[in-house]
Amino acid sequence: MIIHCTIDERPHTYSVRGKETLLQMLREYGCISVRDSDDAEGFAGSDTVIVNDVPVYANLMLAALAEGTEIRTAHSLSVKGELNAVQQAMIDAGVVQSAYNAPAAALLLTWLLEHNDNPSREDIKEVLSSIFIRDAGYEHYFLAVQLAKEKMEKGVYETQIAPEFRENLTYVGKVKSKIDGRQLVAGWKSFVEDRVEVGANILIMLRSPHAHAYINSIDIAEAEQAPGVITIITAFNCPDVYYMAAGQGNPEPSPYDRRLFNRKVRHVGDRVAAIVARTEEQAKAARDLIKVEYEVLKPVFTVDEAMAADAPIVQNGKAEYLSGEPDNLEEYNRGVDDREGKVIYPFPLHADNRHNVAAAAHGSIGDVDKGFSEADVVIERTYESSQVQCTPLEPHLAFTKIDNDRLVIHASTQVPFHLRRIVARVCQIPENKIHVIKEKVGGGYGSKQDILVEDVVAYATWITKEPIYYRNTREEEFIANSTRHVMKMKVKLGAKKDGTITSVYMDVRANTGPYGNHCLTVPMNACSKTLPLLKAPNMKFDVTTYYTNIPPTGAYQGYGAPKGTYALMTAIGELAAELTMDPLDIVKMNHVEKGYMLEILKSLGEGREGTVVPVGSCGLRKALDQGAKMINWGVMERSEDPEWHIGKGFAMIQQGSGLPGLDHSTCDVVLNTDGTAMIHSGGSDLGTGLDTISVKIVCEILRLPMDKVSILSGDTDNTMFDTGAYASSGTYFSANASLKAAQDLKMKILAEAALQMEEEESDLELQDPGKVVSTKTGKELTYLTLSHDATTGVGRGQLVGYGSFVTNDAAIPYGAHFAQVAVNIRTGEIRVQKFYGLQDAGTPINPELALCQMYGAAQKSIGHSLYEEMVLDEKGVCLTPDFTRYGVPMVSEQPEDFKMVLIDEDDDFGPYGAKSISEIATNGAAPALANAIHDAVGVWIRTWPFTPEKILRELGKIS
Amino acid sequence: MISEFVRGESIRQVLTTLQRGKNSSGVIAGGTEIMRLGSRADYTNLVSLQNLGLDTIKKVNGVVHIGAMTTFTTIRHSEVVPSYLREAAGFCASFAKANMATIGGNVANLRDDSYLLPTLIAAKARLIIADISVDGTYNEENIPLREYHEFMDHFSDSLILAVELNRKDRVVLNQRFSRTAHGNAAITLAFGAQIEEGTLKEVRIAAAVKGTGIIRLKGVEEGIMDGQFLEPEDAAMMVGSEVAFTSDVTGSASYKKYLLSSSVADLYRKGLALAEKGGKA
Repeated sequence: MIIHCTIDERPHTYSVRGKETLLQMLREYGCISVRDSDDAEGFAGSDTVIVNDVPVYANLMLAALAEGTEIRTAHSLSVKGELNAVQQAMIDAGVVQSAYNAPAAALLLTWLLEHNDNPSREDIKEVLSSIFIRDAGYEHYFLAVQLAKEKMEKGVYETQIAPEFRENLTYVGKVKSKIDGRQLVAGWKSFVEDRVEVGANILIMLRSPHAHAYINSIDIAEAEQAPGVITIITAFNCPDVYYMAAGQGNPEPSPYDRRLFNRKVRHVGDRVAAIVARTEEQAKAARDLIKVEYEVLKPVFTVDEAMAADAPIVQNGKAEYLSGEPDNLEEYNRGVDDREGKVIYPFPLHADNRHNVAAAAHGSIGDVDKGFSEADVVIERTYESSQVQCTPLEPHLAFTKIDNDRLVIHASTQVPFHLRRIVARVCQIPENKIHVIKEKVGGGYGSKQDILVEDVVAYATWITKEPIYYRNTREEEFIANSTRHVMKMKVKLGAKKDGTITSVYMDVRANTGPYGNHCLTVPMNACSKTLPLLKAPNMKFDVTTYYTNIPPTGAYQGYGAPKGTYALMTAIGELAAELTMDPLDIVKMNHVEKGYMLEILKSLGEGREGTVVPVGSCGLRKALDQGAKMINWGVMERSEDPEWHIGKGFAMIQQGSGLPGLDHSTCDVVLNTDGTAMIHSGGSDLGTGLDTISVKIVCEILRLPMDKVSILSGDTDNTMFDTGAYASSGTYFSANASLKAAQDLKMKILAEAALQMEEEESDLELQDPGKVVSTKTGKELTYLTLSHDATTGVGRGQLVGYGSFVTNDAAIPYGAHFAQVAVNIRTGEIRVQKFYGLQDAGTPINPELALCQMYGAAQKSIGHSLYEEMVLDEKGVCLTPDFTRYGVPMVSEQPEDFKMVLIDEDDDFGPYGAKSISEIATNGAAPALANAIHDAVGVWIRTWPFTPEKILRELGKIS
Repeated sequence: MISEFVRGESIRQVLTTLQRGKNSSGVIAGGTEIMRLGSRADYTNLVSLQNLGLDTIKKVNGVVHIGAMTTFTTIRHSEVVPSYLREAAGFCASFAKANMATIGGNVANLRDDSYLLPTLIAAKARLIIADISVDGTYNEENIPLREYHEFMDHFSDSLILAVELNRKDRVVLNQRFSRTAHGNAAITLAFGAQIEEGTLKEVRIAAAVKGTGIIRLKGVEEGIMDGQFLEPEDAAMMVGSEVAFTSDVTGSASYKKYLLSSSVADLYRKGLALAEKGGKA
């Protein structure tokens, strides 16, 4: 069928095929800003377009129905790079972060303002209801509309966007447009999918229908002969190389317990075969021809099942050690079934794979038993978190090709250098043969710290020398991605009558699923980001992680801290109830403050002994005091409706800023021949504004305006090593490397200027806009002249600053989250009426972006606490493999009164006093809400998510 | 896999296409059900209802006539549509989806978490149905909504043209329970009645129960009208015996049973309060 329509005012004629969607037609036309996050679920809104002046989902509309219509996409909003008021306001408000559906949001809000020049908050909310925002939350979208209105009406913004910090600085701490904001909000080529070349082959995966089974045979003969098939990779022809998917520091504190394909499948959705063909249809047809013979085994899904004496063993392979091999290894490995493969430990993780133990750790300070014996009250409670998904809007994907006889990987990754190392291992080639290009990341949240798809796509390209594209379906995102480790946490607290905590014990049992990604460090983090909040003299933890057959787990924003904080802070609430004390008083009595030596950290290194450091900058008390004031702590609120009961709760929180002693960042800054600067940073901006931070820092030091400094980051050919963006390391590590590189370049500029100006270096200083000035003679030398003269053939060459940052100093962010909820005692429904997050991020270098990350993280963790849940049936099949059934929070679930506050603290070690910002914001919601629910209706909810059904059960309404 | 797409030029042409294709032919209204991920619809021939004039709302002599292709957004913002149906249209939490989803599609799909059906049943809504009889005659019928669902097979070649609400003083109260606004509802419930002389008459209680389907609580309705259930809690007791509940991701069977029972009682109580006030909110 031939249809005629207009797309962004241009006539278009198109031959529609079958059930082709409007999205497919628009993508083929070249509208790359119209994207797909949900495979036609009609949920996330990345595919929003306007048809005949009505916003619709392009994925839910037949292309055939576009006959005679006027279609408008986000491409229409900007003309020759000039953004419209809404797009610019979105950047300025800080909501353009990972930005996968930012163009769609801009289109919707532009449409709104065209139809209503003074929309109410409810009007805006209605329009935003069809867009899923995971990174920045929704709050600053309301601000963006206000800013756009002001700009259109008065030509200037009147509303303050965000507080600013450090009067003496020009760029750092100031609201400045994110440097890649325009590219992202306009919908220009940015993401991996935009780099896929015409003619690229398609890889799809055959996945296991069983949670636990041996693969006895795979017959691919017929499939290999199918039209268009290039190669099929299975356990029987893949490299015999064991590795792990977690992009962690090398040697990794996780076991190498998988190959590209294994003889044993360990979860529903596990890889069985990769099929590469010319087209997706051909690959799917070939997949249907593959015959697999499984020997189905009994699965285990929970920690309790995995701990049982007769439990099926998930990873029963031969254990090997790269260091620290135990004496009884030969005996331990006797009689192992070859189909189980191997488990290789880079160093001992206290594992026992014969009993499903993937890793373990133990540590203590003081004498906990003595502490409990000295206590007036001892409580012991157990809490459980559930399996939750990162749900990035851009799924996991990769495009790989051969160029210059090398393997090129276009990746959406948080860890380009770890990615290169792991792919090199899998392909058994040296790192110089691989070029990883980190594209814009359309949402990571930890899951793109893991090498989940690049390994197999890269290997397929390496053996075939063909360009190959792979993209997870949304269902694959749920069943074959990394998720939060499920944890069962026992907390034992002892306290004196006055609230002084004498002893703390945490027993963390974590469920790592089929593979050991982050199996030691995530559960340890449940202790290392919670126990150091307390100055109790006696503390002990036991951490044990178990293999099971649930979908894989891994890194997720907050790492283990959201779960550990939930357990510890809810337990403190329960302790307060036992003591009939205000929990805020107990917390104030027991929290650490600046200078307190964190002895417990000695036991909490990542597979090695940790470093004891004192508490540095600490805005914890300020956060607690200000939050308590904002929420009228201690004042009981009453609802006019007797069915609704109101309660308040809070949690103190902390995180880290990278991993001192483990992380490493490097950077160089080049002075271009015209006096502008180019930064090459190994850091990986996930959309959070790390590149903008580096540019601001370089501008601050070199006294250059921001449009005279550009950055290239996360490219293994063109930037130097960086461990990557995880563990809240970006601002602290990567930006500190940028700072050191800029300082190095400054020294070199001064030295060169001294020679060119014939002045003493000590008499020279850098001044705006990019010049060297003598304080003694008043002489000036522009960078243009300086650089030109240095590179004309008679000079001393181009000036390059180099920065390498490692440290043992910690820059710990602190904060407090407060919640007020209304709970319906008849229906169990929970409304979050107020949610206030107060965080000490040191100097917030990008204050507007920082606030949005706090909103996004808090909303995400509210989702984890109240709504989100991966549910498996008795065979391990995920019953919630889409957004609707899984239950992510949208604008409808945003707290009625939602405020994020930056607590001003200047850190001694962070760049310009900065600390990390967004991971910590995932830590407070669960305990704050659990405490608030108890305050409202008197019940403790000790498992995620806090559903109405659980409330009703605790209230005795249902059994 | 769709092999043929027909742009409907007239109602008669649509009906002819449906008859010709039998089970392999279907109509596409807003597309949110047929096109969505996991849709059970599997037609080789699709006929579109666009541009057939089925997307208007009018009120004549107190009867509200809502064309089958009217979208949820149009319903939600219409001043002609009774507030209870506007509220039910708001249960579809996504703006873009509400711009596409139609009342006709929602009625025809009979989903067990239907946004509108409980409300329409409680409102005693009627449908305008068109078909072509064996002798080729074009017919339109005005039938009760419940009849359409009771005899769906009979109407497989028919087309819903419109929904009619002809009870101008009808009171309808709605409740929907889902974990998130965009999530599947465990229970969507509506309670409808005429209020005459301070009492509830012609009570209709309908619910969409996830895993069970669209149900009418006839025993509860009769008990209320007979005066058997003087207290709302008495009506709640009856609910459990009328419905078979199942457990799924929206909640356990016992949760759904409790919620439906409790909410029937709640809406009955609110209905009684309205009756006391003569039907004024």
